[in-house]
Amino acid sequence: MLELRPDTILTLAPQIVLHSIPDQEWYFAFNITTGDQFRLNRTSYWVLEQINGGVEYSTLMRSVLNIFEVPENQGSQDLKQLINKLIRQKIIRRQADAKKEDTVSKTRRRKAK
Amino acid sequence: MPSKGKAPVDREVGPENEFYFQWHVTERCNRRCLHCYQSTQRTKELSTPELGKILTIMETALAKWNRRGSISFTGGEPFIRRTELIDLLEKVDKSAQFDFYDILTNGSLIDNELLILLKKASKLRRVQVSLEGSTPTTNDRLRGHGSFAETMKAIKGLKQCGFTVSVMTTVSRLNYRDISNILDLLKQEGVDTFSVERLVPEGKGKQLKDQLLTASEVRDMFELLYKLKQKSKTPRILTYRPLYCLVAPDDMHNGALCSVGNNALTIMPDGTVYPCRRLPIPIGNILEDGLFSIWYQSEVLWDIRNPANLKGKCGQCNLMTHCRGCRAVAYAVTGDYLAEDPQCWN
Repeated sequence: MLELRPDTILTLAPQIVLHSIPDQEWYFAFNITTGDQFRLNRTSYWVLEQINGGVEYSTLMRSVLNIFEVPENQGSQDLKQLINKLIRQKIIRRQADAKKEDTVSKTRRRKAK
Repeated sequence: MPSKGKAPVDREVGPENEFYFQWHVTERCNRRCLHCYQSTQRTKELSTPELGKILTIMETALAKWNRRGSISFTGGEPFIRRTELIDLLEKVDKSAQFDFYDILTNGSLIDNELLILLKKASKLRRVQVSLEGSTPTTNDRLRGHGSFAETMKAIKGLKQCGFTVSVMTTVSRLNYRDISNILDLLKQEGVDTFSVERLVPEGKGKQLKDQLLTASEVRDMFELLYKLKQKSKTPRILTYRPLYCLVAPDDMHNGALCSVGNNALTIMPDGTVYPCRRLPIPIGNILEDGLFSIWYQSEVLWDIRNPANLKGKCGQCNLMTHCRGCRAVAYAVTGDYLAEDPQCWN
């Protein structure tokens, strides 16, 4: 499990776009660079919508507990698992990781020049 | 929870595992047909390496989506770029992602030398030529003087060389009463398949807006074609188009959903991508944007994918899972690609 502190900021990965057709129960995340497609359930899609644009983990947790009627422990554990899975699948990332990744890619680009 | 499938969209956004490209390698043409959906012949054309790059982009997408590809090469008149087209066919013949391709042509540039070259095209499924009437009078009025004779010569030449030949007729009030006669003629020539497309008044064809069939005329013609399809083995009449399902809703081999947004794209000579050639709304450029970005982000495609967006009778139709009308006809007639199909008689 990756560390998720209350002030960890989560963002959508830059190449990810979200689309849904709720009437058809279609919820998708797409990677426009690799072409990967991720079929989601409504809850996962809702979480990604909250993350889109950037959100602190503690804020996201509060929203989850407010919206879904689940015990705090259960809600916290489920959200952590989901966030970890979304990070592993490169659908979202921690802002701190994003900064590191951006620095690495900038350095690589400079070296390539 | 998300699941990274090989191609979840296969079953959710599009039908099964096929993807179709209509690829216009040129807009130049030696004909000036009255109903043509082009309005210009001056679009930039891509070089052979650029065409090869497009093919690679298509292959990458097909592999990712786990879909089998097919292409209709067309124009303009595609054989105006004979050298480039033959080069492209050779590349597709070697591709693991594509099963077959068709060539859509007016037939006028088909000669013996070309027929020999085409014999080597191992994935060529059929050559489709356009014919608008059973006589020079009906046909040449739309396609130009001498075109009937040239088309018939092309059909004979192709059949003699053993190619599978398809004929397509664009139907309007100028020729729809001639359909039975066209079929009789094609039977004599041993043509393999026959299909009709409804006139879409786009490009030069806008001038024929008054010649669009009414809904009841389309109904009569589709009913006739369905009846003839039951009797005629050769040519085989292809009826996998919107509205056909109204004729025989229980026949699963009759009618089809429009492929826009589901499993098809049109590539123009400069790489511009349209949802369909008859729905000429640019949704990107394959060389600049790539296919994934266009397919996943185009608002036009997402609008069309969601049946709840359809308006008028298309939005309330009991056959929505089978039809949804032709978005191109709706767009050309009303300016709204989500409007009801104006030729639907349901």
